[in-house]
Amino acid sequence: MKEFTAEHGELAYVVLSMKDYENLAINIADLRRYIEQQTEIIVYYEEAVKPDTDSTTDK
Amino acid sequence: MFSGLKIALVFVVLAAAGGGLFYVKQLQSNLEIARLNNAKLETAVETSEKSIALLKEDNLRLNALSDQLQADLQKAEEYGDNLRNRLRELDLVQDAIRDSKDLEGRMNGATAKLWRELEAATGGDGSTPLPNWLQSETRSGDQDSNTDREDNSTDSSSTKTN
Repeated sequence: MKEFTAEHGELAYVVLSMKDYENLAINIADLRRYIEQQTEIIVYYEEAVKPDTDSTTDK
Repeated sequence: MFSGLKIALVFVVLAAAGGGLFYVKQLQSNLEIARLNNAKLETAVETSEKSIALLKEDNLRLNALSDQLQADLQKAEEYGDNLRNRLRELDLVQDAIRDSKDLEGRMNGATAKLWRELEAATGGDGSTPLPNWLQSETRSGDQDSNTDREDNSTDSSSTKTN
């Protein structure tokens, strides 16, 4: 606690019920899933529109 | 009279020859046009075949990418599914009553790990050092309940305090 106050100054407590903590954890997990899926979709489109160098040189 | 007939006959023969010559020339011209058209059509067919081959190749590539995307999207769901299963199995209230220090360490460790992973997922390197107060946060619980704790730094036995 001393180290925490040394780093952040004031100390304040935020209380959550276990159910709320679980909901918070699940919501953060959903955010993480969303971010990861969006990243994968962006990577997919980047790969999909990337010109195929082998076939374009044949033309 | 015969001379008139002869002249008429000569004219007819000449006209027939001229007509034949014109017909042959016309045929040759048509043949040349047909040859050119044929060459164009052959080029068009060749281009179409190349396009079809390219489309097939693209289709295969996109199918592979699509499969990969589906697998990656599915993989992204794993964390949430695992978390839900874990939370269903655990009774955090009982854990808190039994050993609050241990639960605190597990929660802090898991939270720190999650933030780092979020950092990595959003383009960072995910190597933000843990805050000092978390590193020095020790627990007194048994080692078996360490599954949610961050692997490398929140375990009191392996961290340094300042």
